[in-house]
Amino acid sequence: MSAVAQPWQAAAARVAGGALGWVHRHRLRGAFPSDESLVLADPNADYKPLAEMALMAGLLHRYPGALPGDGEKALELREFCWSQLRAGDLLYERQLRHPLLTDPLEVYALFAAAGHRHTRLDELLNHLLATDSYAAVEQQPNRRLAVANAALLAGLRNDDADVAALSAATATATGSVPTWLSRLPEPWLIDWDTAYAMTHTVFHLTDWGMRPHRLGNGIADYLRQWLPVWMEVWAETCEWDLLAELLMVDACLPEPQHPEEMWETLARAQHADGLVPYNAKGVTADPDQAFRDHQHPTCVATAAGVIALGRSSG
Amino acid sequence: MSLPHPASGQAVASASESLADCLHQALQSGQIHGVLPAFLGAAEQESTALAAVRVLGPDAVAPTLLSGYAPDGGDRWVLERALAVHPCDDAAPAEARCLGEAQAVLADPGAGTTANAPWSQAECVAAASGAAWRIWAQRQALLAPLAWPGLGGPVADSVGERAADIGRGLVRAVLRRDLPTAARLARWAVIAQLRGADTGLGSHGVAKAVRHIALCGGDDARMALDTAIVRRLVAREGAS
Repeated sequence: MSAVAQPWQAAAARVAGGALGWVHRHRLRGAFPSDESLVLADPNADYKPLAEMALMAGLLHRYPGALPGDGEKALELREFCWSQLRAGDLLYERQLRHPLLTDPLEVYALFAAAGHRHTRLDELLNHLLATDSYAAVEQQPNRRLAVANAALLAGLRNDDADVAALSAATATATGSVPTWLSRLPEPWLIDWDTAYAMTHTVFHLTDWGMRPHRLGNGIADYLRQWLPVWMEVWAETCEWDLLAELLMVDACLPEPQHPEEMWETLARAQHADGLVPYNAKGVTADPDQAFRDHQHPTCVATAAGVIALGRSSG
Repeated sequence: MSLPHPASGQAVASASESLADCLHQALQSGQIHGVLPAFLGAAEQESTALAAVRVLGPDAVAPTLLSGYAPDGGDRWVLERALAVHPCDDAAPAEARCLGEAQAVLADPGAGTTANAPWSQAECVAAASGAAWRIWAQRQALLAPLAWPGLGGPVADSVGERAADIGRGLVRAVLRRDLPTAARLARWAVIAQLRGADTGLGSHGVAKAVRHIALCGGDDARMALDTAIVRRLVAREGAS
């Protein structure tokens, strides 16, 4: 970060630093129950929170200049999540039993990028990635991008052709990944679910802001025009989780706009202890339930700040 | 504009809706002459009807403006009478004064439809200068009755310069289900595109948005008039 922080940087650092602190303090609430089966049956219930904490910690590893002084917390979070996954054994078991599921790769990539390898899982995924069946699994287009980017992130694919295919497919709308965003569609018809899909297209296509130019000029220009509108609309309805996701999209653009007003809005929504609420429906007094309800937006707010601050710090 | 009595606000709003409906029907039927005299003749209270004419601004003669004619003698007489009964108030917001000034130009038989009415427009432009897109677009929506190809001036110039913000304001209004505001900003989007400026809505984008607004907008007469004007301008001028 430059010596004199811009106002948006100060707000983003407050949001991200506070949110990281909250997740770090409450991380044990995301631990698996002691009687957890070795095979994860329901990824949303079982390890999505862990994956999100791992993503946040992984981004701090990739953007070390974002929150100077918080590297230790990020490391502890990542080690905690990896230990909960039995050093990758749970992901391996799940992938072994359900070969066409893609979530084990998506989660594993976050750890692998930070140096946590699981040899048997590497071998299994390399095998599966070479099959037509795994490549053709039916899923939302933005999830297909997630898998493609995860393979790159995990080092299981590293040739330029994959990157080029990703870029071309979404930038020209003629390839095999016809996401909503790739059509540069009517911005006034976006809805809540589509907005989330759009954000994830950007995250995966840009590799969480590390490769912003993979967006292509058309999508980048489109987002520069309409992102401010979408932020405004969902900030007005207190959809804090979606606002944080949209701020993360901005952070991933080739030339982020860093909307100070929106960062300040998110900072005002954040609780004093660092929790970022999902929306305006309130936060329960039960700390375990509060963690289950709000760890996602709090992780997203951290990630948005980390990417924005990390990229601006050079 | 001064109102005849305290309870007239609702009556004027209702009369404005009625006048907008008359104008919309005139557009649909092609019977563009004599709309204002007929509206005035059918009104229970002349003062309220004339207030409605003032509220509509230049849109009070929308059928003739769309047809490319100057207002005829009957329409001009009603405009003059409306301005006489409800004269421009120097203390009114600049946006209201703009509409009155434009109406006065249209009431002048020598001015035709291409005259500028820049006096209060310059004040409007200056007041909004530097405002963030959301605030700026809201102010332009108030001035939508000025959004006619033949009515130039500083406001239209500023719209051409900030066309992307017109697009943003239009999209925001649709997403907020504020369809009357969306229709008003669509008026300016067409003007911006006629000036060669880019609203960001792309080829045919304004036309599609306006179709959506018209289908979702219910029975708001002002909104229906605005969308009808946009659709005819798009068809006539080739703007999209």
